[in-house]
Amino acid sequence: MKISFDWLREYVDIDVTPAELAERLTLLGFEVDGMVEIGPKSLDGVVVGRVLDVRKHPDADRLVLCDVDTGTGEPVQIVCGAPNVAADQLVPVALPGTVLHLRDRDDRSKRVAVKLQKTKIRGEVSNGMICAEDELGLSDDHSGIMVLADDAKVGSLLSDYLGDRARADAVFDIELTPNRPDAICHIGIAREVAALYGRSLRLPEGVEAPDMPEAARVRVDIENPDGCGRYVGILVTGIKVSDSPDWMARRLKAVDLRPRNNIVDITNYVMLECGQPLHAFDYDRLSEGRIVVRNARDGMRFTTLDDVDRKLDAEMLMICDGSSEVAVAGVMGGENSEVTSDTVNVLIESAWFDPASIRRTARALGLQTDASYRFERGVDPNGALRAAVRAASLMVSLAGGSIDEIVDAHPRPQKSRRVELRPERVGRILGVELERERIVELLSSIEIETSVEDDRLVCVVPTFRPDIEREIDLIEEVARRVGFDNIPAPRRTEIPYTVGSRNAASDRRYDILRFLSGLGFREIYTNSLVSPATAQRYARLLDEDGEAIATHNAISHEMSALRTSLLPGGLQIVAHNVRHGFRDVRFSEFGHVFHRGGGAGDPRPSWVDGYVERESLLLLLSGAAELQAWDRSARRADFFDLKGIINAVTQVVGVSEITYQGLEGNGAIASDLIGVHSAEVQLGLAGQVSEALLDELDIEQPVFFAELVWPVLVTSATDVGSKRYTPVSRFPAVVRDLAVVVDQEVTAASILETVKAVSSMLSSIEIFDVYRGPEIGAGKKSVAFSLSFRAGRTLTDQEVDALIDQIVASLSSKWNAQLRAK
Amino acid sequence: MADSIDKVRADLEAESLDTDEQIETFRIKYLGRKQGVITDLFAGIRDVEGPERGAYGQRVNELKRRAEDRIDEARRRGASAATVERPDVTLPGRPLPVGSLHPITQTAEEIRRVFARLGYSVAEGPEIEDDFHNFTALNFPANHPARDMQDTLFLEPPPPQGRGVLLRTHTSPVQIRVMESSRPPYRVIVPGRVYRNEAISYKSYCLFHQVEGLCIDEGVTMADLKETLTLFAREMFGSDVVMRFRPSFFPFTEPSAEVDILWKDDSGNGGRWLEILGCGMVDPNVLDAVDVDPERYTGFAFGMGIERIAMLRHGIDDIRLLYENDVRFLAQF
Repeated sequence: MKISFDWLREYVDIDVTPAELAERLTLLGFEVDGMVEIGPKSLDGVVVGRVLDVRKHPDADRLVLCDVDTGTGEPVQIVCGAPNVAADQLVPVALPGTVLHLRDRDDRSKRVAVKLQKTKIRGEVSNGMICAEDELGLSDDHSGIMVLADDAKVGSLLSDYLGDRARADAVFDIELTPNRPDAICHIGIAREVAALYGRSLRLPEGVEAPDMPEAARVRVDIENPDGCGRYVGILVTGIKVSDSPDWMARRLKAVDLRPRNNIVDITNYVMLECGQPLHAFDYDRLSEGRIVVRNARDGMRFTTLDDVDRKLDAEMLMICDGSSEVAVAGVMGGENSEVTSDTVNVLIESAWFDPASIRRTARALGLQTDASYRFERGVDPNGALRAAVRAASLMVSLAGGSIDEIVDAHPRPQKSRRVELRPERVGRILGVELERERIVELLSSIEIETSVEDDRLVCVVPTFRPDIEREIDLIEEVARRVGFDNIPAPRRTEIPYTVGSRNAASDRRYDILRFLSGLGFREIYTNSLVSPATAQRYARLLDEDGEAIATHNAISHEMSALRTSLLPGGLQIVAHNVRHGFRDVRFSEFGHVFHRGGGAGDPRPSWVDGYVERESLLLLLSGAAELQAWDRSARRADFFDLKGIINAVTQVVGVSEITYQGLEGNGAIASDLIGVHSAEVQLGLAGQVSEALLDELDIEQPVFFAELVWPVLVTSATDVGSKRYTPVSRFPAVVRDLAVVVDQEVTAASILETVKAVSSMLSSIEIFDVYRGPEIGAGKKSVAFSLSFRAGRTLTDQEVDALIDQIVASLSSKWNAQLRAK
Repeated sequence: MADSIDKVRADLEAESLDTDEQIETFRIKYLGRKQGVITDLFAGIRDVEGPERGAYGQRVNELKRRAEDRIDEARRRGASAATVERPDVTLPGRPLPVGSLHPITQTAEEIRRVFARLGYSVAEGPEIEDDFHNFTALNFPANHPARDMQDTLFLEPPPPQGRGVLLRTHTSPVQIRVMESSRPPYRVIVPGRVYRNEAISYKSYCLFHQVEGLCIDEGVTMADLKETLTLFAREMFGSDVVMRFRPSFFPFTEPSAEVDILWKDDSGNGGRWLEILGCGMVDPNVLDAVDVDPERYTGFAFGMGIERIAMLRHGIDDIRLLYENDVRFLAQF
């Protein structure tokens, strides 16, 4: 909201600079987001001059030499470059010694102070400067010099000639919080300023309604009194529509409102003055001189002032005349009753509409106006008549009309609210003890009157403050007036004897990110909003029944669904970096993924019925597993690097005994897809991104990924505290190597499983070689592994030999394995 | 036996030891742990019978010392000779992949640690929320302009069937979830991702991250709020931080405030005020909504944008950089 400093001074005396006031307003809760100074900083030394003669500059095509009479009796020569300068013009002349605030050549948004001197320009003397409006700070016009009207007196000060036009102003851009409808106007802000500096507020005079006979030409019927609690109509007759006077136009322009004509400008001016939105109808275009306030008929159409044809619904409140709709109540008027240049009789509307109803209508129509903005926050229900009379008086004085009739339909009068305040409660909330008298004084400065009943203060809140309904609202006012910076720091504080609960998911998340960083993973953050196609494509990766969730009011189609997996987002990041030449990448991301479902009987994690939400951990690996060095070349990462990383990660989280199972399906996304399990629980999955997908993304190198469901991982982990120590064996392990030849199809996992089943004395088994070659035979492979045996005693060679024989026999019977080497 | 010692002695003296390779071959040949010639002689000690054993052992020991001396001498010579091949220690080490934590994580973690020291634990909640937790319980009346303060992304299906399910616009609904599921006192912080229906630009993204704080107990006042946040700001921005509390409005707190810190810049006028967080005393309506007696319990809540603080600290001028994840950016943190 724009507030003019100059305008504020109409209602309250201010003797600080605009910048100081901006600072104080901010600390009062009216955050000044920006301040623009308009008008000249100073016109000292600028006089009215007459151009007597214009000659060519002998040495410059674009410059001319002017003889100018500045009232001293002795014409002076001034060099000028303006295209419009001509003899006989009356012009503003800045004499040597004058300080002008000219635009910076490098940054035209800035101005720099320049002191003029008598100088030579291309060899010709120049005794000052003939100025454009821009150079004087009067406007942005720098197309040519400013030419004054004939009544300007040569030699007089320009500021005297311009009068009000030379007034400087500062305009604040205030970020207004939605709880302060009273402050969406100059009087509202002035009231706060008056309270701040202990000044009195000067309200406009002549706002009392004159005694009038009963209205005969205007009739107001309110059919929906909940929607319209009050409707004041004033008929002003015999007006002449023309331009507004300069002072009014200047104020409107200062707050970014374009002046239109005196009637419309007055309604806007009064709204900006006191916060009451007004509307002016051309009375002669209202059928039967009647105003009916009622709801629209569903589906009917109406053309608003902005020339848009709009569809209405039955919940929208309308202003109608004797036959049809003339305005969307509190939002925008209609073309059919608009004031035009021919209007002579005006009906001023000043009403109170229900905030929720206006908000609903404005949103349904997608139309926020200065009026709806104020109505939906709540205007003063007792301010309607004063505002209407103020506007009518201005029309009388500025447009030559007379007040003909006043109608005040007031079906829902509102009284000032009474709110009780316990003075000791102020201390309990703010932590600062205030005397009762002090509280009374602070509240009275913003027109809240108090009386004492028992130990409580009964406060009467003016109707322009609908935000004050409860004791806490009064305490806030007290705090604001005391100033937050004046609440002292406590000397000490009590801390309850409790230990906050531990959050394993959060703690371990950070730990694992640190660990992954040690493994070369860079953590990424990607968008959770993806295209519907992407969301659906990956929906079944982590959730076999997965369905994607769409947003209702999307920012764009590309961001109109929630991600169902972190993989697509991560792959985009791989593609981005590979494209920029960074091919050896490892990325990790923690993030939530979303699916439809959840609720009664559905075991999937869900906080809101119908929506499943999981936290997931993505690992991406591509490029080198071992980086190139001066004595070795890089080794490309493969599937088994990925598995090694998964093993390490799960182990660090505290999950032991990870197993992998091949997964079917999703070939379009991944080849070699495997499930990662701990006991019976699936923790997530891993695989190599499919060729087709990599082609789409223009990634020309293999990419490996794992996506693990974080809460499942965390709950599968053994807590450190519950770990039990196993004594380290004092007896040495016996290590034997074994190589067997099996069919290609026999998996390593099945061999390991068979071997492990033979004896509990087998403490570890590691595959150290897999070999295929002509000497092994077609369709065969050799698998070599190293076995460690351990027991609670020293094992003899004979015992171990027997175990090896058993293992060979078992492999032979199950997998038709041939012993290759022992 | 004696002969073999003499023979070994003669051989050993005849060896030339000019290169590192020769020295190493020599060492293995004579002193190698498994098949060194002298090592074998030691093993032979036990085969020598009677009184000769002592003398034999002595001679083998001398022989070993002589061999070691030759190695030492040769190494010393080698060290001063430029011709000997030595590793160029200025060659770079073999590179390991180096990872990094995202700046948002780093800033969030730093914030968490400050509050952990003040006795706050961490609570987390869902990003998909219902209208009750995100708005109603937080004292946002239906059809009130306060709801416009946060542009909300709703999910399909829309209300009424969808009951107003949305992507949370702040982490405050977790306050409600914490208070619904346990009794006071509360002392928690809530980090998490939040969403706004805003066009993406250098200064706004459709989502960002917040840390919310909640402290409720008997006798907690606005003075405690100020002190807590002052301690936090000193930890986060340095003990000389200049800050101010100015009145503001949030539906779920009253009184409400925004906190600015004075950010030193080169503008020459001492710096600019930059907003870093919003806070206030928890509104009695919020406590009522979760059945906590506002007459007995009072407290405060605060919330801050992690991106905003991270960008401020690191001088990042475009929020989109945080979501682009270019390794040249990530590697700087």
